[in-house]
Amino acid sequence: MSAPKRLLEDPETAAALRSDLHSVASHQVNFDLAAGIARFEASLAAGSGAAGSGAAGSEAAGSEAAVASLKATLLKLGMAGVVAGGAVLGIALYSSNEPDAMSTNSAMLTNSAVSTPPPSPAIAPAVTRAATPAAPSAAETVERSDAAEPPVEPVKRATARPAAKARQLPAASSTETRDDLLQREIQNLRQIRQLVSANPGQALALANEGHSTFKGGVLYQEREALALQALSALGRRSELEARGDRYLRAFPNGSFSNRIRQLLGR
Amino acid sequence: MAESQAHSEPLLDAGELFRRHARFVANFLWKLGIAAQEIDDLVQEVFVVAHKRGGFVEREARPTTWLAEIAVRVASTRRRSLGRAPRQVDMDDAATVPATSPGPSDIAEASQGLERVQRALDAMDLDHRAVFVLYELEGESCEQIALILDVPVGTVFSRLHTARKNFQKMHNRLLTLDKTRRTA
Repeated sequence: MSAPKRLLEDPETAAALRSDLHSVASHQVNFDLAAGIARFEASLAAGSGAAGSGAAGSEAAGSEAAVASLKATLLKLGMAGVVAGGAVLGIALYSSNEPDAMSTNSAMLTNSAVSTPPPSPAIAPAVTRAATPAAPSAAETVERSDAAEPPVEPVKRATARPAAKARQLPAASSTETRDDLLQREIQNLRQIRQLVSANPGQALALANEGHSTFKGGVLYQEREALALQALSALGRRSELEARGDRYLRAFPNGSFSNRIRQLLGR
Repeated sequence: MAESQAHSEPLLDAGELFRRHARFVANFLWKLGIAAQEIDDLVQEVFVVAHKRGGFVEREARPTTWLAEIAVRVASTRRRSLGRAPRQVDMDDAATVPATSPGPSDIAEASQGLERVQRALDAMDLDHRAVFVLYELEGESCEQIALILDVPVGTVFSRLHTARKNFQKMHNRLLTLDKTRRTA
């Protein structure tokens, strides 16, 4: 059996049909790639290690209450598809994604897999959680204190100043909702991405500032990857090596690990 | 162990895969009949599934082929979850087939030709539509489509034959209808 000639390539196809097919074949839907990437990274961060790290089991075992609550939040953010994909079931949206806090995520994943419903405050953003701790387990308490320090080196004053003047991020307030915080974090990431090639110094300052403002933010990995890209562009090799090593230790199979290895020449 | 790890290492990391191919997936989902307002969510779903599968690894299929397979499954699940029965439209009812796929913004920018094709595609069930889109619009071979849809290649030929026949018939009717409206 041989395949028929494609309608688009067949001279015997009616011209009108060929023309219509061509218009569909070349049609581009409206798709915001930058926003899509930000959302995707957020979902990966929320379910970090989902691929091949045993987290898949925990996805299925997430508690109904946590899922319902999380779903409501994600739906507001237009992330219904992520919910449907099950990538974030039972996993805290705003659980810390910074390297020092990864053990917290692991503990939560394991707990939800066993069947204990995670307490609803687990989906609260880092800022809220810090302000109103909701009876975390003993293990969580210890690990959260470990997560308090962001894994970022102090921003060099000379680099930080112009960016701080131009686009200083407003501090997160205790009344800010989780959605607002995530929207601001996405916006911060967009700015960094736009600047990283044209003005790496400012992009780096914004990334460092973002790490401080969005402690435990779900977009930490991409922000740090962009910071490393900026360091590479600025030729600050020793800082690049130190931060790159720290990233790779924390996320050996992270979404940006291959790119960072390339930056480090490995 | 080290060797198997090397073989299973993803060719592209998840973020890079998304960057390179999310637009393709968005357009492909649209061709499969996913409503414009749902595309963003389903693109996310496709890449989350891809990530959970361990990412794209070098194999016979191209990354787009591999992602198309996931997209067909995600679209199929989406249709089932909406309780949308495969649309079986009588060819005589061509004029009544609503253009479900494009949202308001798409309709505004779509040419009549675009709309005709989408409406003709909407008259197919997903099985036939996927084969038609993959073969006619994405240029996949019947053998690759058989792999993507996990069906025998003979089934692909059969679906393609039916899909082409119905598509051409429907398109012709829609074209005639448009001409009649213009001259009326």
